[in-house]
Amino acid sequence: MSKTALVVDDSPSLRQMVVFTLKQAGFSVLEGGNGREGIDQLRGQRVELIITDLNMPVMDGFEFVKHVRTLPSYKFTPILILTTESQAAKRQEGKAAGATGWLVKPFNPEQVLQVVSKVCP
Amino acid sequence: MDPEPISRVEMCAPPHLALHGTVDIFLARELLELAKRALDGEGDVRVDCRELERLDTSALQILLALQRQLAEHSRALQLLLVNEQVGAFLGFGGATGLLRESEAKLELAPASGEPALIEGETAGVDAERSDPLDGGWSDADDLCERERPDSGVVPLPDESELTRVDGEDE
Repeated sequence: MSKTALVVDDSPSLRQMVVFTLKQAGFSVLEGGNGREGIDQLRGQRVELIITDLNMPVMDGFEFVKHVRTLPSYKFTPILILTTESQAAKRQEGKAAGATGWLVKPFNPEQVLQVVSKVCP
Repeated sequence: MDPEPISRVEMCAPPHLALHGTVDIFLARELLELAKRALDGEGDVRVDCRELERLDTSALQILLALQRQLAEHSRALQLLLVNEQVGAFLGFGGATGLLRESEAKLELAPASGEPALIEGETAGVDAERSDPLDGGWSDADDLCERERPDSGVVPLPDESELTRVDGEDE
């Protein structure tokens, strides 16, 4: 049975690229256009990997990560932040929120898969 | 050995575009502007890729956003004369639908303004890519870090900017 990933980004075209990349690695993929939609997607699902953008409407990536970490089922689920932000302070904020990893756009699909294989073997 | 093409993007017989060299985040702003102009035009948008050597995901994101918005108006985006490397990248990014079928013939005006009849053909799409883009990750149990180049980097334009061309507010 394939693992399930959740991709949260307000850009449909960015999601399209990430989703395709993950599907090539054998994941089933759920999608959300912001943090709130991401949380909705987690309900009743078993998700083994989450990749999220930071700057999104309704609920941003930091709030999303913090919320996910309050869910007992997702306390240790790998969460990768995929964002245009690269400042150290932002990364630190992401780490404090509970993120597992940080990747700056534009992303390299191969490297995404390399990292995914590390955090979600 | 052919000289390396100067990396650039250009409007070529509007609404058609031409991409040259490496089209990545350093040219994303220019590509976005041309994409907006292409949206303002009529008919399908064709992209001459015969001198395109490499794309990154920032450029591909713009092309996918353009494709999405063109489709809303029953228009199409087609990439022509894609080399094997770019074709492989499109395959890896799930964008092979942008590739124009091999039977296509297209009239495009090159930079000189002289029309040219081009045999459209697309390269095979492989799952493997030969040149990983720059970037790196730290250990998986820590925050993963990748620094962008220091100079000349513009924030990745998001497709909402493209959307605004259509008169929609964010």
